[in-house]
Amino acid sequence: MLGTQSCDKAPQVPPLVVLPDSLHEGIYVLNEGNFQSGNATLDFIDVYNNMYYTDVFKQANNKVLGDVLQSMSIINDKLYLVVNNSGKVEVLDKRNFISISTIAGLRSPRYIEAVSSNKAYISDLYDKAITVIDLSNNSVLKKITFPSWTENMLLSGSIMLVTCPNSNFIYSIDIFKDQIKDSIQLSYGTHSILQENDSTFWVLCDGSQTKKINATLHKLFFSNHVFRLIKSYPFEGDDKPSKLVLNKNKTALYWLKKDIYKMAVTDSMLPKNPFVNANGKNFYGLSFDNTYNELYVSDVLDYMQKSKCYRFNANTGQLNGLFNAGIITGDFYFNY
Amino acid sequence: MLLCLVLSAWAVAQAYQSDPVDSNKQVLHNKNLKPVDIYTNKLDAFKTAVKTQHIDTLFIQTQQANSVAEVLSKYSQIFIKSYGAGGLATAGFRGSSANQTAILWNGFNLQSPMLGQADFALLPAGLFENVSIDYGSTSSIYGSGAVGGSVILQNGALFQSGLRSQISYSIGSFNNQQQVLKLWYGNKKTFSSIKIFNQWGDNGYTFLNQGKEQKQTNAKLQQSGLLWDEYLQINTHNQVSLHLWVQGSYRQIPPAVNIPDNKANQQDESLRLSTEWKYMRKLYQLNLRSALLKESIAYRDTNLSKSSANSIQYNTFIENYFHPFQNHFLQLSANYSYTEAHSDAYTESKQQNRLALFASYKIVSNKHKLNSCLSSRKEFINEQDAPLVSSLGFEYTGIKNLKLSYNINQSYRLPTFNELYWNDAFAKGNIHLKPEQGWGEEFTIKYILPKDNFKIIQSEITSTLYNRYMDDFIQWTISNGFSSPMNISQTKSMGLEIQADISFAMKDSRIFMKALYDASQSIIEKSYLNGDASLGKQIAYSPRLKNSITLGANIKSYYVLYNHTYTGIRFTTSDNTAWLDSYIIGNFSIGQNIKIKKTILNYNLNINNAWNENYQVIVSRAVPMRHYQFTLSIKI
Repeated sequence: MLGTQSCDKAPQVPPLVVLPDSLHEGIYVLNEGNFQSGNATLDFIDVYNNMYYTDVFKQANNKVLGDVLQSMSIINDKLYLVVNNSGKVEVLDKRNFISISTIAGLRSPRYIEAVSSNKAYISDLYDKAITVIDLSNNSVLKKITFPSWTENMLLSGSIMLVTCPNSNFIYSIDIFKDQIKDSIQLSYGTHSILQENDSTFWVLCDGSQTKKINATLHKLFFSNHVFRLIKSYPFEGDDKPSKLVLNKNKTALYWLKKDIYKMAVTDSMLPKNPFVNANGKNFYGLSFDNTYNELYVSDVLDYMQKSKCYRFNANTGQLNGLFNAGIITGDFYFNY
Repeated sequence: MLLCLVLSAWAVAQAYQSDPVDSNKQVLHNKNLKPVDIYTNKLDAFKTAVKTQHIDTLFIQTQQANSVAEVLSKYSQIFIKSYGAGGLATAGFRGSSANQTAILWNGFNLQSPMLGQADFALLPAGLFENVSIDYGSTSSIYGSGAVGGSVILQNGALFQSGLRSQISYSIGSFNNQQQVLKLWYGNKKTFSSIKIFNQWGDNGYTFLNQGKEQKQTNAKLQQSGLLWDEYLQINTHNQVSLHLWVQGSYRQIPPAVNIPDNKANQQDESLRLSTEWKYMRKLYQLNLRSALLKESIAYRDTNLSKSSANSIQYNTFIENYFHPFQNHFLQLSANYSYTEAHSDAYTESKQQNRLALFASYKIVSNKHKLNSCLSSRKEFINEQDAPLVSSLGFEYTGIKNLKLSYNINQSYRLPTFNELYWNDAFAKGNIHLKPEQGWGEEFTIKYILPKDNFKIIQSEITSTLYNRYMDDFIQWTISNGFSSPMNISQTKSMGLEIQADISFAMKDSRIFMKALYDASQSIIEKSYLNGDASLGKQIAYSPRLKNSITLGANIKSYYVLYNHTYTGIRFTTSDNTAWLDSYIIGNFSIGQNIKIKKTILNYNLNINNAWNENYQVIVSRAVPMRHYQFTLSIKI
């Protein structure tokens, strides 16, 4: 019996590309990993030296990152990795990915946004609150109570705009008082929020199949604490658009809806045809690279294998490149 | 209970006089137990060239305070996907998924209509005298789900046995305790059996996490239930039986390793009631059996207030068995089931009507050297399609000491309610799903050593080669922004299973060995996903090797068992880029059956995971290291 067990060997693992002592700029590839499997990873692309480094957190810290890497931000030259189902934010040295501190005890964190060099907000799926973080020591200062799930945040002057996917509203927080200042009613499932210019914003609402409410894209005017709905773009009944992004010049919006769609900010109607056809791929994460005017999109296939990530020219939709990342690549963060 | 006894007027268990094959009536031997007649479902007689393993009654006896999952994990070739002590445990073999494993109780499939699988951790082994396993598909007889194989739970009827009772108490590591009361009464015409159990445990075991000791949290289990079997032989031609199985479980769901504890817990309740009437003539038998299967699950954690799901199923079989000519046997049967399910994640209650027609024809040669059987089944379901499936099997015993068998079969697995109707903010079922369907074959050689050699009382080696091809494998993936199930791939499984049993008898003692070897290659052969890197790769959580050896001895009233199981690496991703290491588990059982007149006192000590292996069956799910269990039983 023991003899036959020698046939049951694990595959050969190619050696990891060893991290150099110091890295500066590049692209961060966020791999969510499988829910409850603790296999979230962060990859890094050194674009100047054309090097791809996998699972840099484990390499640098000799431990796993956690469960479901949701998002990241760079604040004060540090990486803030939001590890959703581990209920924590890992704070890393940007040069070498070594862990500086861990903001633990969060319930189900989603995104982190700096309010100033001293303070940041963390949104949360279940906590019904925004957690206020003191960036000087990465500790929790207080919580701002919300009626439901808080998701994307956007800083505009002294106001932080927050989407709440289980509601019809976006909320504004006075960042000096850390208090909800106002709310504006849009449609159900406020999710993504982007800024086109000083006074024009875009909000994507998920809608709800169970409540029979269509997903809708809204264009808003917001200035001097005055909100005004400019135009709404309702989707078809079963559509579930996601991952709304803007290009560098703020002239075009892109999103995923099985395929990649593109719409000029001046268009009066939603596009009928896709910009890039998925052709059977399972597109999941979408980000915009301002430097090379490219769309990065991940194909997560069956959720249980390494994602394939594609780079498309944002003007023509032409495929520029392809690389493999980790399990369920959900986002890309560009810093170069 | 008295009322129950009065109500249970009808019961039966007597072999039909002209059973087509011997396997329909088995007599299981255990040195310390009286022979018990086990009457399998009559449909079993038409399973031909299907490899069946009966778990030794001594093995079951030593595990009576554990779950069926523990029994199968130690003593069969099934791979049990266990989430840790008391946690969810599903079964898969020959590369099949949990949804492709049927579990049959009195001939009724207990796979959840919503989830499509059964939790073997919630099935107490102490309730059953007989646990057997069919390896390979029996879809042409048992229908949807019996693809990789089936687990069969049965109890025997011991007529004219008088009144007997047994009380057991078990205590084990992590504050696990169990109490069981069993009562039997058998006279010439009736047999009654009542089993009541209650168990609980903290399961706060320690395990190693990245080299550091860590204690499992939120892992309590409480479970209680009753199983009641009644048999009545009304006259020579009419028999009836009634079976009731009521069970409730509350368990906390421990967090995955390195993930905050969200205090999840789940309450499972089930009520299973079945009746059967057999009308028997010399050349004809009618079996009419019905069941009510009700189950509910309520889940709660600190993030979700409460999530509940429940289902009820009415299931009726009409089975006609004919004996038209000598050595010719025919069954023509129909099965109607109505299932209603409700979940917080469905927009409304969902119903399903299913009608299955199935037939088998079996011919046995004059000298009983060749059996052959053809079976076919067609199912009709509202809003769904199911394939016509058939199987053809041959068994040949014309060569001395050898039994050869070959079986070619088709199989299928219908989409579950969750796969069809789930509808929440993140995931959406797919009503356009096709059933998983495919075909396979298996060839078995059984070599039986003559019993008169070297005091051998039983010795046989069984080798089986098998393959299976399945289309339209269902998997949850992304569709239009939602997580949604789709038919995404074709799978191919092939493998070799070897089972060797040998027993020696000496004065007042018996020494025996059971060795199981299973090498399986189960791969994704074709995918509908563009650029799928899982092509040609081993299916996730399908070990390529599972081997075990069990050595045992009965010496006078003592017995000792050692079970040594190797489970090979399990890939945790479909592209085989991540995996969990293989593990070896050793388990000891030591005990004694002390007879004092008609009373039997049994004590049993189990040392589980004796070599203190730190391992994971499922990624990030901690399992206990070495732990102990002591059981004391008195049978009068």
